[in-house]
Amino acid sequence: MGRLFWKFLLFVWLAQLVGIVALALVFWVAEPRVKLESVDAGPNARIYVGAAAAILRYGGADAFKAWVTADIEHSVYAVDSTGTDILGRSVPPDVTAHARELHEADPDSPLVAEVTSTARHSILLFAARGEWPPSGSSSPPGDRRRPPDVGPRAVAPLGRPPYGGRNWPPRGPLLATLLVSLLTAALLAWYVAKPIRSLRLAFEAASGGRLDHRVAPLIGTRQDELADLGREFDRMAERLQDSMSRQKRLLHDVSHEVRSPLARLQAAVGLLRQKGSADGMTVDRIEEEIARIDRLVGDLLKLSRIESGDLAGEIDEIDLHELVSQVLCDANFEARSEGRQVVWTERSEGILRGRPEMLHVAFENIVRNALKHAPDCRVITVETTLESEGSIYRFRVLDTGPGVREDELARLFTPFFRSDRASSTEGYGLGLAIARRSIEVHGGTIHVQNRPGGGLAVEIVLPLGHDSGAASRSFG
Amino acid sequence: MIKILLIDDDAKLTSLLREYLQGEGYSVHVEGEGYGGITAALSGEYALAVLDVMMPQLNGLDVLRRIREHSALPVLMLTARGDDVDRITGLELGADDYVPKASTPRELVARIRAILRRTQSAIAAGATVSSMTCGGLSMWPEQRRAEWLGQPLELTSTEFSLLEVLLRNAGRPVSKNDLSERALGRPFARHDRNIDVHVSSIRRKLGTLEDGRPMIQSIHRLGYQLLKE
Repeated sequence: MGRLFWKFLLFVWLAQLVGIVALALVFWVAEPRVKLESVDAGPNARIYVGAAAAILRYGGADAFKAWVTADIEHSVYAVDSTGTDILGRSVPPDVTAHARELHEADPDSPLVAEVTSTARHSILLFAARGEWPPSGSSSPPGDRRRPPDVGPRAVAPLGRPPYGGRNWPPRGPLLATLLVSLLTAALLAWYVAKPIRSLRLAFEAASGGRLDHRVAPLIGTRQDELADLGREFDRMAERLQDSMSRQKRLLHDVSHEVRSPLARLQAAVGLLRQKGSADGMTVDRIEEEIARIDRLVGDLLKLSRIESGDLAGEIDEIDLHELVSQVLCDANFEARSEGRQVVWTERSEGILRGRPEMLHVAFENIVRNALKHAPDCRVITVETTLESEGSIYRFRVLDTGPGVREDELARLFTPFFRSDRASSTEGYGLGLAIARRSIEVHGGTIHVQNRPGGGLAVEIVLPLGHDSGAASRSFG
Repeated sequence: MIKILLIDDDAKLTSLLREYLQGEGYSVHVEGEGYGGITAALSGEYALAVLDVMMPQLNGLDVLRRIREHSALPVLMLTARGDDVDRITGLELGADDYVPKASTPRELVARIRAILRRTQSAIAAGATVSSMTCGGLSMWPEQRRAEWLGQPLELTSTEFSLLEVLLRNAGRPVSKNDLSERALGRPFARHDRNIDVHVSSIRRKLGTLEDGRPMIQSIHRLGYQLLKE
């Protein structure tokens, strides 16, 4: 799950927790709190219980209520046989049970009194207090038969939180609340984040040139703004794909159509030459230009093929050292005629599975680009290094030419881009575009930057573990 | 006069090429579409066919496939630059060589000559019949005949020339450059799959050694070697 999911989850859950806590606080504050923990066994309690019994017996419930309300110091509780206080105050059943136990053990105990009301209900009267009695001295006098360890703990056993106070709510409900809120938050977050994730994947695919990726199957029958967005994306991708394929077909068709007259032209020029009826220099020039157009058309086709994933050449083990030495040998052959040279300073071996022709073209185009655009640079340096324990092959071409304006660096790899420094008429601006796509097909990257001392550095980084073949190959 | 068959749908181009080839001393017959081309190619009248890969209806590769079903006539393909797939498929189907379509006619003639030199010299040599043998393979270069364990081998002229060079150097590796120069009549171009495609085609036609290895081994960075038993 993406970051959005976790953010959503966190925010929703936090909101729920704040709500829950706020609500809980309201109830907590509103609830009357009487901290009842045990039956009061103090000397005052005996007096109060006696008084209360008399009042209840002779004055009735109303008189008892008036007395209790007037005297807040000592709370005497009157619990009927069902365990409820006749004034509606909350009394923990343990305390009631303890009182009843005390009474049964010693009916004459002054701590607990029994009053039989007019409705023939038996009402138990006792005082209760909210603190733990000091251990040892807590046991009421009439309680000797009970095992000592049951004393006050029987009233409020360990592990159960004390009642009535400003304390933590019970653990079980707390956990359940947290869990449920977490679950609903996660569900909500997932519900929103999932279609966005699908959309992101689709955009990624589209920007990577895979316009056949569709969102609809991931969305299903969902009906909301996000689903609409997904379907809208699909429509857009479809139209883009359509127009792209039409453009490619056009490029392809035009290239082929240009070739036919070009071939005729070449044949006609050949005839001219054969008959010796034309100036040899002019014919040479015409042939040269025809070859140039033919190369351009070939490059265009090559680029459009690589772009559309229709890759040429077989997959093979490529010895990069051999490949680079071939490229440099050819480049030097031409460079020497101009009194220049390409020097290979750092050399590394590397074997790669890929398409030799494509890689050769990529390396060659980079080296030729350096030769072409740094005409005053007498020595062009090439370095090849192995990095990351032999898993990365780095190929660098360094010239001392004029470099490229910083704002133009990124556009160097765009087809037909001509930098200001490309003053010569050679080239069409397709070489670097083809090089980049060829390298990308092999899982590599290509960077260009100006060197600190002037000149341009072009760098190819190739992962040696990458298999540019079909995915099925890598499973085999 | 050597007769050449030109199969191409571009009438303007073929009339120019015909004129050029006639100027070089060849007799040229033109077929404008595939079916006529197949019939003409199988007539046995021609020394070589120049075949355009891109043709409507029956394309050049299909024409080549049908010619190869019945005949080892040398075939030179006209391919478009950038269409590497066509080129490789063509070689796999048994074409002897290829020329990019917008090449100069001089280049075309040079390729035609190279192929004809290989095939014609054998016919001209005639009389003395000497054979070379290595393991199950026997070759009579003068008759352009080859056998594997007594069974005749159907080889295209390029395949025959390649195998002949390998057999003359049996037991030694021959570099791709040497193979290209001696069998194809031109220097080896980098990453040219020509030789590899032809060799793998020969391998399929030859049997294997007793231990199951193919008779032609590729030697990394060196080229190919015909194994001696």
